[in-house]
Amino acid sequence: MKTCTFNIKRFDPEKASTPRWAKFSVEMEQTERLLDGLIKIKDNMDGTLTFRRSCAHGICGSCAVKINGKNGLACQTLIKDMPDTITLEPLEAYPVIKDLVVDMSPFFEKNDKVMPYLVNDETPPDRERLQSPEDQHKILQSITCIMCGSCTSSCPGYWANKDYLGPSALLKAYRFIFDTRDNASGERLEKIIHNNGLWRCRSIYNCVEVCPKEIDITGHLSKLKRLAVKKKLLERK
Amino acid sequence: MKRIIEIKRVIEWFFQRITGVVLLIGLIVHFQTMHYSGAGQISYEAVFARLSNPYWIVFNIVFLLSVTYHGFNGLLGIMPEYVHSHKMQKVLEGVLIVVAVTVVSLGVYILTV
Repeated sequence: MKTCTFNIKRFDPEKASTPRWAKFSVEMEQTERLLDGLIKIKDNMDGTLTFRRSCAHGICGSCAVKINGKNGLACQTLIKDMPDTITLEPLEAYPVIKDLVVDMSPFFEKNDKVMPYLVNDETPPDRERLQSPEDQHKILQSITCIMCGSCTSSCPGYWANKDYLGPSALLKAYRFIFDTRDNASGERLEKIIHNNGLWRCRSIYNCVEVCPKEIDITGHLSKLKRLAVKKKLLERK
Repeated sequence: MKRIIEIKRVIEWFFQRITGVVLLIGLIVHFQTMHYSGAGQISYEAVFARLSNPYWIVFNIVFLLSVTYHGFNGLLGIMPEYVHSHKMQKVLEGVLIVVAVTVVSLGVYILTV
């Protein structure tokens, strides 16, 4: 057991106009996760503490918060890997609703702009649309994205310009553009190569640093940039 | 118009990468010649001899173009992230382009005349 100090940035728009810091001392097992600490605080110390959680197993992406200055999932961060004082803040760059809960609508709006669905008008085969292992490998990493928003929230390009699509939406575009079963890659590419799209990525790698699924987002975006050069410059008719 | 801007952005990124590679090679040659080849290489005679050699002139012009393009294109790229007024962005864009063209013209003039 160890005593952890949770230093949490709290904000209640109904009670105050500015955020405040709250400290909680919690007895934690080394094998417990950060999310367990938050649940203990809410259950036993302060029921007004607000945070998102759903699956608690690193799949839904709901509990993404800024942990000691770096975005991550509270359910995927073990106490044994943490110092005694843990600072928690809501994700940067999204409007805060209350405490650690942020408004994710700007994030999902960007996602919708890249046609995040399979487009294929051909008659489907009797069973599923097949892909070779090589083709599947091209999108293998990008399909593991759980859309927690950590990457876009950590991107300085997004901090500077909220109209920028952000790494998450661009990765989603990659996921379908490089999917051999999809027939709208050209149209999708058009939707990302504008001023607030692909070219706003400066290869800062913050997104890669924070991605809880360890996706090489910047690498994927570079592949998209190379594809844009190939399609728009080298294969022009 | 949309298509022209699209192509412009693609070209900008593509040339940023190409000039980056040229810069890497150019900087190695530059540092080797100017800083690691002994004082003899930076004497008046040595510099004069290099500037009379057409290969060195071509190298210097390519180096100058790459440095200026890479630097100023980079500045033009990040400028809108710090300057939010659209009017100010246009003004700064103009200033940066004028400075870049002046630097290149001056450099080419010095190297060739």
